[in-house]
Amino acid sequence: MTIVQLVKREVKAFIKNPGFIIGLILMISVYGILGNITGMAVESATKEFTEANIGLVLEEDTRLVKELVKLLNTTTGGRIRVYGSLDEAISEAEVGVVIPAGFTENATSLNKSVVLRGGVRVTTFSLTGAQARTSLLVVVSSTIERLLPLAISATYNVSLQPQKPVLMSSNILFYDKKISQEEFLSITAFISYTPLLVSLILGINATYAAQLVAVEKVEKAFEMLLAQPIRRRNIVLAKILGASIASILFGAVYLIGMLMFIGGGLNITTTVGTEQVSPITMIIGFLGPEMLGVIVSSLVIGLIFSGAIGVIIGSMVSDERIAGVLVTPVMFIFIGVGFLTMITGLSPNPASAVLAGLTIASLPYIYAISLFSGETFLIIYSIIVAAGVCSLLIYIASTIFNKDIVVLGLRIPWGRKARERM
Amino acid sequence: MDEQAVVVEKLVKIYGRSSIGVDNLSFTVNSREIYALVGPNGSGKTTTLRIISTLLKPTSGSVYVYGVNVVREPLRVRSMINYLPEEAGAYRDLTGLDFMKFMLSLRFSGRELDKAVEEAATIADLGNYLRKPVRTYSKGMKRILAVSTVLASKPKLLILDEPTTGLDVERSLYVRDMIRKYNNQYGITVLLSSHNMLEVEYLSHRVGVLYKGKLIAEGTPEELKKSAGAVNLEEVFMKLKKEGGVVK
Ligand SMILES: Nc1ncnc2c1ncn2[C@@H]1O[C@H](COP(=O)(O)OP(=O)(O)OP(=O)(O)O)[C@@H](O)[C@H]1O
Ligand SMILES: [Mg+2]
Repeated sequence: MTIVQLVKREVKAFIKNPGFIIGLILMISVYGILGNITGMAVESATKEFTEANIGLVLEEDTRLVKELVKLLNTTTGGRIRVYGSLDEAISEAEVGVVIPAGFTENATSLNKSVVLRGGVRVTTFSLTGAQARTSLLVVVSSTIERLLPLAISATYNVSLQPQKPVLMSSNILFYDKKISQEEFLSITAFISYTPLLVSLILGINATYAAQLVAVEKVEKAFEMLLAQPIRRRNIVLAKILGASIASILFGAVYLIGMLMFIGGGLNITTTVGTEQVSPITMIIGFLGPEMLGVIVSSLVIGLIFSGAIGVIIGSMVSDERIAGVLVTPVMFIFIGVGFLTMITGLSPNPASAVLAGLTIASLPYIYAISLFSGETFLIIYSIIVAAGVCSLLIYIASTIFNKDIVVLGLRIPWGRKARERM
Repeated sequence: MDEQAVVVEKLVKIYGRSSIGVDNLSFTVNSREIYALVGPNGSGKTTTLRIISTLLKPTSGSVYVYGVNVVREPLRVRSMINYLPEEAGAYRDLTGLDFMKFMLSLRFSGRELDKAVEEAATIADLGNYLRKPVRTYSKGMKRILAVSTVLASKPKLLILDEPTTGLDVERSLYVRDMIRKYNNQYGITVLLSSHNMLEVEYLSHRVGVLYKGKLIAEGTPEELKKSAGAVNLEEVFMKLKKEGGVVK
């Protein structure tokens, strides 16, 4: 059974590959941390969901409404507060629902429908956070839907009526701007997905850069190149640029592909007032054209950043196989950070700004936060950190290129044995 | 032959914690001379050449190329040398000609570059293959491509790690003649390593014999033969190796 021997050798070579082991350790630890953070975010969103007060505005003070409020307060564990206006309710309780004039009549006549007005205040771009808020409204309206027949039968002493649909037209107070549900969804989705897309390109770029260096070593032109009268730093910069160009090409094709995938994407429209607006125009209108500039700059900074990381990895390994194995977890880390931003969001504080600067992909997100929260220093912090990290990485890469390791490869005792056996 | 092209002083290179590459090695290469390092596998030839070419850093000791310290001013050293690595290859997807152009463009520009590329192409003498991707080349063709590229760059000091390995008999003879010609015509100093004693005897003015990272003998081929009482360098080599083994 020679095949067994062959497979054995393959598996051994792989397992003894230092890159493989390091990659596994990296991935497990980073995703462990990511998992914890995500867990915390979901927990706090759930907590908010089950503990938030619900503001009610009563435009009508009938017996039915009183009964309904009483029932509602019991079912929600005493979380109902009554306010004078929707704005007040939203700013005090974060979630507000108006029981409008004519509610009693609509609720008790057969062929009329019940429509409520509601609103929530959202001060996060995080998908989980924002969804928790908006779904609070849905929960309130469906609870009212469930309780309404009970209230009617108790108030008028009649037998239990069938449920009647309760509709809710909702408004969202996004930071200080009033927007519709559709607008809200487009914006949070856009802001949340951008880091993910950017991080994907960065991951790919790191792979390209690592591969460029590793392949050159395998092709055995590397030593000759290193003896030419050129600065090592220029070799490093050339690799980063080369990889970035490849990634930008990839990114452009990817984007076109995505647009084609969305297909009629440009035909999807939202109604804002009476006008029909495409989501893209709407997002730009909302976040300002600078947003595009921010995305492009994050991409550029990110390409330098990930390119340098790739070059560092490539320069320390002896062939593209190890480079590939080692760079895969790095790619997953990038994408993990993108996901993390998407799920948990970042709060407007210096720590998030530094984190975004360290990971680059979340820069557009921080920009949006600093725009909406009015804390301009956040994006400035991020950019300073990002620029610092990039320079540091380029410096490290150039330093490594001046060391033996670039010629000899990473030396780990058991790694060397494996290579000798291969 | 008085100016010194290479001065190696008490050079030590230890890989990792304990693997000895070169052990307290001292020698000099004079300007315009062809100096050959010989020695059994693992005796430290490649290690020495890589350090002189600024690819590796010495653990201790010092190396000067035309008076310039290789550790302190590597860029200045690189502008005076060119280096043919032990396993020189080329970018797989470039054509041979593009590879020459690329490598030489790091040293020359404009008309000088065109001339250098033409010269490299003439030395390589690969015919139609020069316009084909390197991945279609045989081992020897890749070797001749690399050799001709470094020769055509005409540095002050040419460092060649086993220049003719993998070449057929005819091409080996041709490359030896080329090395000799470039040394003669352009006054290029050559420091090479080799396992081929015929080649060493034919080419070099002086020979250094390495054994376990130490220089155990040095001299012109004639001197070495005389002192060992041998008829050719191969015999010298075998005798020295035996003695070296005993001394160790
Ligand atoms: N990357 C490395 N890691 C550890 N030890 C090494 C490394 N490279 C070389 N050595 C050791 O250094 C010593 C000298 O090696 P070197 O490659 O200089 O020999 P050489 O004379 O060029 O041999 P050859 O004739 O086989 O090319 C050897 O003992 C070798 O085991
Ligand atoms: Mg060698």
